[in-house]
Amino acid sequence: MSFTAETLTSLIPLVVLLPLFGAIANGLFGHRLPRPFVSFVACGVVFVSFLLSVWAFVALHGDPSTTGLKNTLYTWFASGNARVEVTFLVDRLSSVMILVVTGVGFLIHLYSVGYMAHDPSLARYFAYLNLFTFAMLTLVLADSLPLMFLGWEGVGLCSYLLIGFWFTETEKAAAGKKAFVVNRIGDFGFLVAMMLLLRFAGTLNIDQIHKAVTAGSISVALATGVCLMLFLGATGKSAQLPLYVWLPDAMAGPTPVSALIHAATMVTAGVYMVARMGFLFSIAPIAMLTVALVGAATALFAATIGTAQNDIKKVLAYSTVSQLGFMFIAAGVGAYAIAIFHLATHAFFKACLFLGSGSVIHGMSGEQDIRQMGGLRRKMPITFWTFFLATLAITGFPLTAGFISKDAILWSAFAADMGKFADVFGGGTAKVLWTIGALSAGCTAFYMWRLVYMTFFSGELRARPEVRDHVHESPWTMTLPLGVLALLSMVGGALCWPPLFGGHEGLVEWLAPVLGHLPLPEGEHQGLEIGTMAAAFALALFGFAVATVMYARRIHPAVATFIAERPWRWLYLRLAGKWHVDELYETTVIQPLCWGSRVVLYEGLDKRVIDGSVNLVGWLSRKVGFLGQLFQSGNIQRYLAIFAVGVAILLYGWLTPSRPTSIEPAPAKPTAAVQRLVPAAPALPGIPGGGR
Amino acid sequence: MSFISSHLLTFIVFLPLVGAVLALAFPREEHSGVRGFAIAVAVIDLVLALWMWHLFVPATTAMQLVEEVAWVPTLGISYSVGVDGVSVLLVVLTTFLAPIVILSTYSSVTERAREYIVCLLFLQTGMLGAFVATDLFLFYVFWEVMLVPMYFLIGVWGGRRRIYAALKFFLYTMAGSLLMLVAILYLVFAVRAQGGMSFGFAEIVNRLPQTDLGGAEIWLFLAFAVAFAIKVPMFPFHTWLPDAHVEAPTGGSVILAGVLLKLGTFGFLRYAMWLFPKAAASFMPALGLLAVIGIIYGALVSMVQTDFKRLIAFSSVSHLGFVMLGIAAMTVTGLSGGILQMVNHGISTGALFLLVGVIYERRHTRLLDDFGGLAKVMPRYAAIFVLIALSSAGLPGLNGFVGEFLILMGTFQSEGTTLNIVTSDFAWAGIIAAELVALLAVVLIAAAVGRHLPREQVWTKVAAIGLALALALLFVAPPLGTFGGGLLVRPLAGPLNDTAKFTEVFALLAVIAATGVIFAAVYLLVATQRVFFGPLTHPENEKLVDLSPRETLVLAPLVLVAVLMGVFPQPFLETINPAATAYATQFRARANLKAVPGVTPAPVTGTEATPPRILGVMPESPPTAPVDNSGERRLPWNRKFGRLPGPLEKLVPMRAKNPTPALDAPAADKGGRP
Repeated sequence: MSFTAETLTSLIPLVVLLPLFGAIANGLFGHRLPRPFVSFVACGVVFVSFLLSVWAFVALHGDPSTTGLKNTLYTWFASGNARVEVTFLVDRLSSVMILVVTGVGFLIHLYSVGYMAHDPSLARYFAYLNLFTFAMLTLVLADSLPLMFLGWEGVGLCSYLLIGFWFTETEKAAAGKKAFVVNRIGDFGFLVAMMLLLRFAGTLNIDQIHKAVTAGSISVALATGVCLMLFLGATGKSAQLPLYVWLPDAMAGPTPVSALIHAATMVTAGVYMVARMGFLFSIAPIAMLTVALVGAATALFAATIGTAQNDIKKVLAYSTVSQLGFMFIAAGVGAYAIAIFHLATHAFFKACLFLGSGSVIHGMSGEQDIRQMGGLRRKMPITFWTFFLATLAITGFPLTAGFISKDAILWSAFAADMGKFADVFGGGTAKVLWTIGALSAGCTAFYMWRLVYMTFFSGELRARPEVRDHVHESPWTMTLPLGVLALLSMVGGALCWPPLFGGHEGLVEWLAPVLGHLPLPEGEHQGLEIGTMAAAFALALFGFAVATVMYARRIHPAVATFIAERPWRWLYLRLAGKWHVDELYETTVIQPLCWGSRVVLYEGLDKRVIDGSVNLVGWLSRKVGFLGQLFQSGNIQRYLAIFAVGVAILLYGWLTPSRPTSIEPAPAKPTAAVQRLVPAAPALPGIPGGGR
Repeated sequence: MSFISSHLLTFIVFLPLVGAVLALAFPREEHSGVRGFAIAVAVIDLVLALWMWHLFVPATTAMQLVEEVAWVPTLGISYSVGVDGVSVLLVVLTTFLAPIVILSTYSSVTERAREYIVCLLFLQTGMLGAFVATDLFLFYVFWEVMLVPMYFLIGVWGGRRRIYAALKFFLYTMAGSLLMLVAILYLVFAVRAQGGMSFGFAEIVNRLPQTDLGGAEIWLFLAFAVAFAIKVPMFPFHTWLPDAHVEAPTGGSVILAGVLLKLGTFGFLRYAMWLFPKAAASFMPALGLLAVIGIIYGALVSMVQTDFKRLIAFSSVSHLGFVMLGIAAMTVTGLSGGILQMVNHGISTGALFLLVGVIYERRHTRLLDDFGGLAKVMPRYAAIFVLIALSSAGLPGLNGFVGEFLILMGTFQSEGTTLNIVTSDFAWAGIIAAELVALLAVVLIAAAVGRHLPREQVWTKVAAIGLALALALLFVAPPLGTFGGGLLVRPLAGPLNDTAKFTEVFALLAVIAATGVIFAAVYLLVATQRVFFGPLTHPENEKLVDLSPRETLVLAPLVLVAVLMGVFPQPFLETINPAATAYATQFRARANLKAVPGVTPAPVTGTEATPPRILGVMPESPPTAPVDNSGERRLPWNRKFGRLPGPLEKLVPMRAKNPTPALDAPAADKGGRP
């Protein structure tokens, strides 16, 4: 065992560096290599990473005594008290994460081979995708915050590059830019959190921070400040209110990218970070409350928008925002393991949904509007069935992976005022969280079934004839990942099968050494748990029923008349307009900033005030020069006259008998300002001649 | 070989000058020969500089590779050079950029190429000399020498408004330099009493604790500070920079941004802060504030530029704000970051100007709107540009991040500078002044806006002006006023060591500065988007060719170093760290500030026998040794205004018939340096 562990430890950097190697190889030489080779390298490195991750997981599993495998490569930088090592740590938490990242990542790489088969920039695509895998693995395996920040910004960069992958279209490039900038706002929070920690805790190493917390040397105020700032970073990366606006636009990227980065892995980085720093959040009640409430608000807010979107990927994007909100509810109430659990199941079913939507878009020759679709279940059976199964999971059909994890979140929220953090979530807060979560689940059921009905059912295909004739099922490289992910969406709940159904919450137990135990109340609450579960399921059924009535066989004509009525029309327009948040930001932040910078700062302050006064000085000195010109008239008589006056003045000075006081020359008449420089000069004793 | 190694710095400094003279022997019309020759000279210089870096021992914080020859002994002027951990990397940076710039002239300069190269080489000697000089007079000579070739580079090979820009650059810098010259002379005469005339830097620093500069210290510091602040340039002395950059030829811009500006930050650290620690300490928060204003202001203004070079010029204002913040905060971490960031900025911004030069040569325009979609026709160029832009934006893994990160972390920890927020009537005077300025600025701006008003949405603007007015009057002016009143006026008004109470000025500044990372992403990505992405809107861009092999060769070293310094910054930091530690700890000790946080008790020095010592200050000499010019030697004006400059003192005994003892200048007065 020890031999294996050592070998493994030395191999851990390979998990991270192999994708980097793939990125460099494809990025520099890919355009000269044959396409199959490019694909092979890109998929191969991720697959080997996956195998190593499995090995690491198995090794950790086989030896419960090891807390983690740690490998330090070198010192990244060190100066003063800031010291950052490049250290990769595989512990129980990160081993689960790298399995998700490399596993789902490999499937999506494989899928991309088919999806991007006709794209001329295949090598560039795979280079970015591999680079992303590298950055994401760095983020997950980092043992210090700055190294995590390297991955954090790295995934943001890859997201930027991949959203704007088809850069010749201005909107797509702009969407990439928006993603990067909004993420940077979050990164500001991350930076400030690091400043606080380095100064007041003296370290940026996660393990050492943990020790400081255990030793009680971190005050609640510091923890609160750090956690709120970290959470600001998480809202940027994980698309929570108020920084979620980039994620829906990010759908401009290729669909596999949406699946990998904007559903399964990168956007969950915020959740992972909060879980990783959970020991710090747990001592900061205000921060916990903030996380949970923001998560709940985002879950409902995004779900409402999802009900009125017509772009298949936009629906899924808002669904992702909403699901991330669920994860933050769990993280906020201290059930970090449950958040990670939902992160994993969400990776399965949302990746499956995105890849399914990609398959649909591929088959529909790039069409994304579900109003143009319909009846596709017969033409794309595999896509339909996998999409259907994943929808069952996300809408919470009993015993699917999504049901198990979502229910665990709702129960954690409901019971938050009875467990470890009872005083934080007392006064009904826990019940509010639960209610919002359950309502969001109902919304989720509605918009997801609406999506399924409008895409795969609701009568005949509504597309243009030339598109209609081309509709086809996708090749095996695309359907195989769909099948695997659909299967995982069904059985993924087994990871953490609840005691209610005879399980023992394997994942929670596995993660307990890192994330602690669930803050749930002691004792038996089976009745209550079943009750809340039934209530949430009833809401989901209600959403399903409404969607069925409105969209099942064809889009119900009543829908059109319904949303034409007065109050509903208003609501529908707001929902379809995404609550106009983008417009709000545009008018209140972006335009004033641009306009203020251009007109106020540049045209006004810089050009007129500052540079104006510089030029004024120049102008003045030239005018003074003109004054001097008066003396340089070339008139000898005038020169002589001036000369004589000067001589007279000088002679007067020389010939006047000198008085001692006059030897204190210029300083005798200091300006008023200078006079205040010094305390009043004391009397001058003992200085010969001074006072004569 | 040993002759070279014992005179290494002299060789490094004067090799380009020799090259410049020899270059004049090449034929005027035929350019490839002189270019090849100049590249050879520059590369040899680079090799020598790398050798110097190899010989440099970081752990020894004293000046190294020192050479000293008396130059004007009667005035105590000597040719003395040396490097420490601050300057060694800047010398390497200078010699690193030189061959790249010369190589870039193959296509960018076709007229008078020989003279252009002579100017570049001459300029290089000036810059290198200013970095290594350890004699104030020598430093001043090199400092002024730099101006001349740069003036010609802008004025002869520049763009349409080159004369205006060159003159502005020259006069602006000159104004600062003259102030510095006066201060240098005053200083030399002030310390003359301890052993005669000397311009030697270490000598002066050693004598300063025994010299009571009195109130003059503030003014001397300010004279130095203004000279360097213009060079950096710090807000609000920055307006020469965009003009100079826009008009300068590519090579001139690269050198200007890459090296010349560093002389400002370097001078701040080495001279202004080091000579006058107490005065500097009382201005630290004010400096930090100006630096942070520079960061935000430079970024915001950069964001709305339409001219590519002007955009990068303003981004330099922002980046150098970071460097100045690190220097102003004076912590080990922040200072290391600041020094490292000088190098980083030289690499990234130098590369950005070269990149802009590439498309300028092809299209003869620098306007962002004349491009668009270039990534399609110039993929390799686009890739390099994006990489460099990201490094400039401080993406971790590339060079810009480490410096910025250390600066922010270090600045946040800086304690011990005092801010007397509402101490006195000065605060009220400051508030009223600031309110008036704010009102005036808003009125001026509103007047300027009036002309633009009808064209775009009126209400946004009216609202924005109202908001700006409210913000300025309610939120910005009072703090600025108290800040200014408490900080700018008060140190001028009261005794220096009035360290009443402590506030977290720098923590606040660091947090504000951190927002700079957001704006940096905005302006760089906006520019990238406008130039490279979207459809090819201009038909004349369709036939642009990608980087030629020579252009790739010009850019490749910069890209490599940008990546290398991002992934492995530690070798650079190991050169910097001991110097930064020594500077920060000794500065704080001499200025009576709280000790630097984050320094472990046993710092970096290798030999414990000689405690860390830089630039002639021994830490064991009590840093605030009370000045005891025993009774007789104390003249009223000496106490009040610092020692009078020598000539004036000499006048006194002639006129007053009974000379005071103090005026019996020591015999060593004429003996030159001891």
